[in-house]
Amino acid sequence: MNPLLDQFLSEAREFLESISAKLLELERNPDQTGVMDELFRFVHTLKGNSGLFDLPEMTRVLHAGEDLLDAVRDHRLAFSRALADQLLEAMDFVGLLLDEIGAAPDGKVPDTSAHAADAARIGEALRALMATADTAGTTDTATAATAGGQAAAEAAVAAPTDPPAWDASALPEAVRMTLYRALLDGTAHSLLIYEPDHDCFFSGEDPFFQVTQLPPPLWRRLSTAEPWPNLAELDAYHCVLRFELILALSAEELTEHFRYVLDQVQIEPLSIEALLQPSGRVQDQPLATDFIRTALSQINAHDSEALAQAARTLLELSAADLCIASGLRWLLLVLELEPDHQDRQRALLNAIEQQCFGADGALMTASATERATERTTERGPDGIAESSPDRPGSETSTASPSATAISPEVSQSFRQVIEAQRAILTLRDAPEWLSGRLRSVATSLSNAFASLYAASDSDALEQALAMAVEAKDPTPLQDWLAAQPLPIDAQEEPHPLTTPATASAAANATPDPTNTAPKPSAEDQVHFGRRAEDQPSARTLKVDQVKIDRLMNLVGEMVVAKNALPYLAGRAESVHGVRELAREIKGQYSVINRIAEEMQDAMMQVRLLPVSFVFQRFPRLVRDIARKLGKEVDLVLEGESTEADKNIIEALADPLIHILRNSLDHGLEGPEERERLGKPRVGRLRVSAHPLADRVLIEISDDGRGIDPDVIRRKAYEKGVIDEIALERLNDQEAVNLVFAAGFSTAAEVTNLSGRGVGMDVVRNAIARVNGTIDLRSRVGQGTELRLTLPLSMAVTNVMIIESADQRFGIPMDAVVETLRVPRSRIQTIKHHQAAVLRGRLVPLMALNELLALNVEPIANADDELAVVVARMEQEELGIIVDDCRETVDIILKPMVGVVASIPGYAGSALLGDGSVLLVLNPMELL
Amino acid sequence: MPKTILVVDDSATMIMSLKASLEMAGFQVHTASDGVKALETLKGGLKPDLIITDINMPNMGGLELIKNARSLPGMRFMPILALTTESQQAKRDEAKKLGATGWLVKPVGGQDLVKVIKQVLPGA
Repeated sequence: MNPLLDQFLSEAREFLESISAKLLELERNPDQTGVMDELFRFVHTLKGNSGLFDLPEMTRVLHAGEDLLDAVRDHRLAFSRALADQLLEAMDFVGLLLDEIGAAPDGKVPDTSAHAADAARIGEALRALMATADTAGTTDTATAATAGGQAAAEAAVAAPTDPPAWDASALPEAVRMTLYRALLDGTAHSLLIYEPDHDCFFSGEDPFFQVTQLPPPLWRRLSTAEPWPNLAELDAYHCVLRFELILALSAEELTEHFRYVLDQVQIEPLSIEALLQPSGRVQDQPLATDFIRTALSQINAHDSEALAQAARTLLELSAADLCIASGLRWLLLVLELEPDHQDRQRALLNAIEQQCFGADGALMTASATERATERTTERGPDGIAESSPDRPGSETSTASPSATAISPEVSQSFRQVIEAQRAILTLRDAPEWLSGRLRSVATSLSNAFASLYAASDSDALEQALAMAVEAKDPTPLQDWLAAQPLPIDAQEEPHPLTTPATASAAANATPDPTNTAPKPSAEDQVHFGRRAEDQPSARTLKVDQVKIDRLMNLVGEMVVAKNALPYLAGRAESVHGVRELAREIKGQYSVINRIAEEMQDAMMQVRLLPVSFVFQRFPRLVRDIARKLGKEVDLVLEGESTEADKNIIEALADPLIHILRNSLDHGLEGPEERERLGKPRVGRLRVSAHPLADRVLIEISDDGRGIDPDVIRRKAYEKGVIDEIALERLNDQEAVNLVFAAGFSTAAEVTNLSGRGVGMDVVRNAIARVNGTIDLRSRVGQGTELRLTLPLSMAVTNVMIIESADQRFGIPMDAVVETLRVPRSRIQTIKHHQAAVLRGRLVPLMALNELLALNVEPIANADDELAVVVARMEQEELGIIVDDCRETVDIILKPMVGVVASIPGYAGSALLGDGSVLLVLNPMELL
Repeated sequence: MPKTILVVDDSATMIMSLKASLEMAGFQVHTASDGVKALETLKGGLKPDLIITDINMPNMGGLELIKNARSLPGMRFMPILALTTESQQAKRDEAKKLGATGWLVKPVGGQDLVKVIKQVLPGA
């Protein structure tokens, strides 16, 4: 329903398992930093994932857990059993929440606020552990942390004050006036100075892009933080840019935008006071002194009308570029916008008086050079400043002086520019960005010619550009360039004209763009091909179990369906008499058979799971049970990577848990008793898995008290499981095996652990259901060992087909020891039971017809021999008398369902190649 | 051409969430479950326009990945974002020092994620 939620749940459960496992590992050996780091990572990731959903309770608990583990990881807190307990409880709580979420309908995230109190309690408990650490533990880290914090705070404070305050007079007057109005309106404006790190490109930063992402600035200036080196030494990867921008953004908004490079930016609020500055040419104005004197008295008299009138008059009399004129414009603006702000008016007059007059331009040199440098940087090669929207007209009108005088340097650089553009125009590769390239060439040419001649043939250039872009061909621009008069100075070499001409001729000789077009695409193909190959192919895919099951069913059906081909071949020959066709069908069958077998094998591989899937729960389980029982146990897991089919592994979980419980509860003694017996205090519980031919062997052994056969005999007798005769007759091993008998429980008192109404008989049946066997060995006082053998897979079962009473049945080959013909004369009757000595052993015989209550006598062959299938039943063998034994086949065993499910004696049914149904016997249940 | 993003995280849930958000925004997403696999992918010829990497991962964590990825040819100028939680200020600074372009703070939702990416990825 909700794939993300499903993914989260399944991964979260995995994390919980891993967290438990790591906790237990640490409990055994707390000094493993690697394990600690992993543990932290699991909790950390789980917390992060829980944040994707609205799960405040889960996040809260995990957050507390993460903090706690962080403290442990930093050695602020020692790992302890109490801590592990608390964390395990927290993870149980998370598991509970996961279950609840998983059970919610429609893949929706349910409201888990009902657990808020629990979450709070668990969170508190975790934090309480940390609190004790902080008080008792190391105060030095705390001081170190605050010291670090202080240092950071100091750095933060120091950063803005470090560079000298920005001088607002760098701003053109018109910009400052606009800003003044805006600030009075209450819109936040900030000044941003951004000097990217010299190495910023190596961090994947793109300062220019960062700046263009901002809304259009009120004003901007792009300069360099250090002078450009000369071209030969220019390092294109060494960033020397410096941006200065005034933006209609608050300091907070800018901080957010530049959060990755805060150390590279300086953000300053703008104050009105800093903006209100007269600027311009400093020159004495004869009337100014009088004006200022009267102006001051007019301000004091609050006569703004008269002051404005006087200012306007003086302004008309002053040249516009004078400082005094600027001051007057400001004054008029202040009078208009803030007529009652006398202080500001006075301050402005003061500024005019102090800044605008000089004896003979002593002040002027300073401000004028400053303005001159500003102008050059603004007209720099960047091209940004030119597009500045609020650039006042007076600034751009600075016409280029002396257009006619061409110095040798200018001429040379002009020539370089033209040559470079010419070279670009000769390129014939027609990339996607061709039109941009052509435009850039045209702009460069236009600028170059404009720098040389007052008026260049710019209309023609525009036309040439338009044609070139249209035709995706630079030729019109080349033609335009060829038509331009070049500056005649020094010795003009003829190459500049001929070289590009030949170059372009050569270029023209090569096929035109239409012909070259396939080339890059071919390159692309090569490129993609290489990529595809180089992609690492080993990827893990998580697939829904249902899909795998469906695929396996289909593979199973395929395996069975192919079995129809031999029948078909047989019919082709026998019924239709086409031997040739029969042979062809058989040939095809062997091909399909091979493919089907490989498919089946591949499918098996997909379904294989390591036993660790089940084993990984044991450490936690054993730990919890052992602690409840007050026992000390060392759990040893071996062969966890042994693999078997998913269904087998899953079927294994419950029986194994039950076996472990039994061992802990009944098998292992308490530590004191063990000491008294001369055993080590800590009991040993070992679970191991090994592959064994085509089966998996799982052994569970303990060094506990073992099973006393006498106790079992007595108990079995008391419970009526065995009669007196059996009581005498049973050997020790047989007695021990009685624990598997239905309704038998060895514990004198039913404890709350193993006594859950589930006996070993249930365990045995669960194992038998997946065609497994169970074998119990025990030595009194020394321990118990259980051996489970399981098939690797239960997808396809190999069965032998037998015939009895004119019906066909299957017997799993796993159970078949041998088949043979026994002469009727050799069958003896012992105590009403039939038996025969086969290969020196006495094997009891039963007729299948009798077992199935088919009231028919077994049919012997011509020599009066009866067919016997010797089947393995637990530790014993049983000869089953049938009419005939036939071939073995691979079948997909489907369990019996519906009303027939309750009939004992059958393992299930299967479809045969000819479409008939085969009932497969379960020899164990037959008796 | 959609922009390509390599997402590196050991949590399949986080990968799934990021992948969905990014793909919805029109990006092409590649994934790797740890630093080692991410480096393999990069050495295998994938040239993403952006890498987003978790910090805490098995085998090779995000910090080491950033350091290693930066030394690969053609990856010196690639934007790399570190995926952190709000409590990991120190990791963020360290990542930055090792060459990360910036960071994302978990949990990252669709809109915020795309906004941040557009900020570091020209042309996205």
